[in-house]
Amino acid sequence: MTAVKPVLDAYLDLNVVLALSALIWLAARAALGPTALRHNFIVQLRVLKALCLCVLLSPVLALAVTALSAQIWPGRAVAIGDIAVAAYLRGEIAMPATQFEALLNTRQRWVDLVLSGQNPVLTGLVAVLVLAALRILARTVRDALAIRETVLNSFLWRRSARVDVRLSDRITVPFAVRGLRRRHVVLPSHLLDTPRELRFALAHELEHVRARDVEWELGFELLRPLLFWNPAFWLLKYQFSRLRELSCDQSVVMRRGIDARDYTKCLLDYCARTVAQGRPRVLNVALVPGGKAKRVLRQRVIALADAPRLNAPEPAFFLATTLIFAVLVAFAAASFRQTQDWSHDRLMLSTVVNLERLEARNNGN
Amino acid sequence: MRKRKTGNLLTEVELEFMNELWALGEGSVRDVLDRLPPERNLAYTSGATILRILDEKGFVQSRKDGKTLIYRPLLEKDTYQARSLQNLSRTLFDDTPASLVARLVDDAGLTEADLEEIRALVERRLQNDSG
Repeated sequence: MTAVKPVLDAYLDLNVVLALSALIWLAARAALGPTALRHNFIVQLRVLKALCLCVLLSPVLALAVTALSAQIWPGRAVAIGDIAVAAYLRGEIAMPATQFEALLNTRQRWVDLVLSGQNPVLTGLVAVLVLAALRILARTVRDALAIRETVLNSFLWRRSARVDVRLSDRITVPFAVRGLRRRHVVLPSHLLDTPRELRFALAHELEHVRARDVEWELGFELLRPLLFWNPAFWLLKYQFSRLRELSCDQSVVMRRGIDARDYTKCLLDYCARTVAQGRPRVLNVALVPGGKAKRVLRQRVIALADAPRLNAPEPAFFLATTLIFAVLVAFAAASFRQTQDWSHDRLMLSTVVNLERLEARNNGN
Repeated sequence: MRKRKTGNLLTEVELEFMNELWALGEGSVRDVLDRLPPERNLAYTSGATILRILDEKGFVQSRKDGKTLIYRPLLEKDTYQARSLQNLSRTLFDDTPASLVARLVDDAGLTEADLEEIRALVERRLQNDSG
């Protein structure tokens, strides 16, 4: 159990940081709302990717903030628990020490209760979550195998240093995917009949490859069995999937000089074909991603209409945004970390608790 | 690249190309494209890709004639017709060929002469089986 506890603590920390990051993202979106970047989905996607990277690096960022604050402000705590203990010892929180300590150790108590397996309801809940995670994992593996089968049975049409372009008669919607070594763009072979649509579909999928959307999708899908129960994960995943397509459409029109109206018509044709189609829903990025197609189609058409008027994004803006996110996530991660060490303040609190208990016993006698 | 067996069915555009190759006996990409209706307006590279796919699927065989690739069907049209009908019977007519024939005979598009021809074919088949 001692080996499981740190892992469970890190997992809970990640979930808390994820929830805070979702709030940071909503605030960032609200801040971008009144600006010219409102319809610039290329910028918005990059900003979201920067935030997601900060979440992944949050354990390192938390350590960095803790070490840095110890250097700059020695003796001042960063973790909320430590700040609360210091405030209690200064007399700013009025409650009995035993009650305060119990409140402070709430999370630890619940973790211990889960690990001990003594509460049947909690154990049952954990078992249900584990089973659900295994089911999601099995579905992901099944979809991955189906995609692998499609790629293996496709026809290698073009090959570049990084990407294989393939044709398949088993699919009706193009998609991009990656294996261990190579990336694949798979196009329906019937597109050979319509060279213009073929050009649009290829441009769209290659843009996904260029933006590394395939790898991001893979990352989200690998995390899904672990974080499926966290609404913040779904919010960030939904935002990512939505921005991924909107940004890709705008990039295609901006970078590759494709007419926005022709491209929109091609998208509408594909939407008509993809409705009510059974195909793997994960581990790939497709021109029109299944069930979400209808929901985001309107936004995509509006985004395409704005694309020709967009300016190239400023690198300084990304740098500044990434820095702000890194600082916010680092402080959030450091604040919610469980401190394991016995600091001076913690020892003092423990002493006060012991004295309080002793006093209660003496009064009882 | 591994060569696959011709166990599967042709797509619409592949069937269009195979029909032209069956009519030609053998031919190059240009030969096949020249036989397609002018409104098809298919790019040479697309035609070449479709024939390469057919080659990989094992429906045709290619040989070099100078710088040109000449394609020849490996599968007879009759054989493919039979396979296609078997597939249709299995997937749409619950694996009962009689239902398929019944649907065909009910079709108002069949003339008296067509029906007579079908009757003759069936009788010939019955005689062969009993003989």
